This record gives sequence, structure tokens and C-alpha cells, in this order.
Amino acid sequence: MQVTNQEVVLTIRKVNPLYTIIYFMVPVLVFAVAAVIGINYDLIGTAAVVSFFGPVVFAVLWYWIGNPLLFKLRRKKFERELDAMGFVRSYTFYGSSTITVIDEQNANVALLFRFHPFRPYIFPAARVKKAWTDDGRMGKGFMEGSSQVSFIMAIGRKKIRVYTFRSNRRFTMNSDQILTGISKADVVVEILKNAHDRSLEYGHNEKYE
Amino acid sequence: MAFFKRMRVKFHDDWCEDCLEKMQLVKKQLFYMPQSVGHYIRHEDAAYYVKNLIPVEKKADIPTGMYACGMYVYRCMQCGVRYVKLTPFLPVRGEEKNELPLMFMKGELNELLESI
Ligand SMILES: [Zn+2]
Repeated sequence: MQVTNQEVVLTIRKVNPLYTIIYFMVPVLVFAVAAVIGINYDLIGTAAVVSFFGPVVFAVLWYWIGNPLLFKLRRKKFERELDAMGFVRSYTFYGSSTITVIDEQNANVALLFRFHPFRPYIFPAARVKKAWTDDGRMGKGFMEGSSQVSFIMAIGRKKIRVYTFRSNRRFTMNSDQILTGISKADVVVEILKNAHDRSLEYGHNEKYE
Repeated sequence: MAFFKRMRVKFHDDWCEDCLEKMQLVKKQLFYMPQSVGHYIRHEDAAYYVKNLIPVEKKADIPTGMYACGMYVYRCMQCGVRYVKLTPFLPVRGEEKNELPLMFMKGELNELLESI
């Protein structure tokens, strides 16, 4: 499959502001509506309880189930679309907010973002000017450690960071968690580099830095 | 004294369980193991290792994100029994993420030993 460069003259946007605002605002609106109803109709007993806890339950379902479920459905559709256009999904990294799919054979890359789920990006791997692993190393001596590992793709002027490990506590650099995160990131970086070089052979002319 | 020796056998892989003596390391070999980062599955059966391990010279021969497996062959100088210890690990930039080692004490890996 040949992907034209035209597609990617557009800058990649990880976040669709409208989608994100709607995503965060809907539960707030539900709260507001419930509050207005509760006050205007002077609800008592069961109705009052429902008007208070209803929105809470809704917010929980919306944030913790709704969005991940939507993203999962989008991902499945995205993968079907890629298959339909002959994109060989030889490697996929499922990040919590970014799905990275690489077609090593035809040297193309596809991205889908959690907060921009209706806009998949598909482009020649040559567009990834550089990719590298960030081990998140912090501190010195016995304090040295990391709580996050990621790989970063430089695409045009954008840098897309995808976490391979993230935690709220710090681990030493040779802990299983950090080593696994580094290994996963190194794999993607290597595949991107190879795909980039192959992409150049196919006539896309951007240099890997 | 036998009691202490028995205790020592419990805590060391390289002590013969019959003779209660330290065994000698007679062979070391590194293998490539076809498992990838994040998808490690521990196999207890020797057949898996006989079928899948491929000998390599050095750690650098293992592709990024793939597993390696060390093999240590011990021999008891008294009774001649052979123990084989396997140490699966993920090489990451010179470091190693170690998985639990496995011991084979009944010649289960002889076929693999002969092939290297
Ligand atoms: Zn012995």
C-alpha cells in the first residue's frame, strides 16, 4: 500500500479540543441539570437521593468505563480500516493514550489518540525524523531512579511521547519495572528506525536525525 | 555434620543431593529464547527448552526485546550425576531482568546438551 505525503502535511494533533471539552463537561452538565431539578421541584426522599447520586454514578461510568470503552471500539474500527487499506499491522504498541501501529513491510506508521479518537493518522515512516527512548532517570546516587519510561517520536515539529511504563512511585534503574519499560521502548524505536530507512528507499526523502 | 551439609544442599543449586558435596561447573552456554518483553511465559517442561533454545555466543546476539537463557551444567565428581540449571532473562542494555531459574536433575535436557 502506498501512503501519500499529502495526508501528513497537516500537523498531528494529539488532542481534539472539542472532543475533550465535551468529554469533561458532560458529567458536569448532568450535575448542573440534576441540581436545578432538585432545587426547583424541592425533591424529597428517594427522588432527592436519586437526583444527587444519579449524577455521581453517571460521572463514574462516564470517566472510568465510557471513555476507555469508546477508545477500545475506535481502536477496533481503526485496525479494521488499516487492514482494509492493506496496511500490514506487523507491530502495535498499545499505550494508554496512544496506539502506535507500524507496517514494517511498506514502511508506514499509523497513530490513534485517546483524546482525538475520530482522527487516525497514517503516514510514511520517513516522517518520523527521529525516535528515542526516555528512561525517565532522576536523582543522583542512591536516590537515582525513575517512575516513567517512554519512547518519543519526532514528527515534523511535533514530539509524540508514548509511555511504556508509568507509576506514582519511583523504582531503581535496574528494577524489573524500569528494565521492562526500557526494553519495550527500545523495540519500538528500533522498528521505527528500520521502517524509516526502508521508507527512504521507497522514495520518501526525509533524513533520520 | 551431615545435618549442616543437608542444609547447604537446600540453599545451593550446585550441591549433589545424594553425596552432599559441591558439584563442579563443567559447562556454560548462552541461548536465544523466542519470547518477547512483556509476554514471558514460564515453561516447566524440558521439552520446551529442547525444542526452542538456540545457542548464541554472546548477549549482543540477542535481538532487542527478546529473551535469553543461560545454562549451567554441574557434575558431581563422586557419583557423576549431572544437574542443569536454566536462567531465563531479558537482556536490556547490558542489564538483565531475571526470571526464576529452573533446575533439571534427571537428564531431561540431555538432547539439548548433546546438540551444543
Ligand atoms: Zn553425587
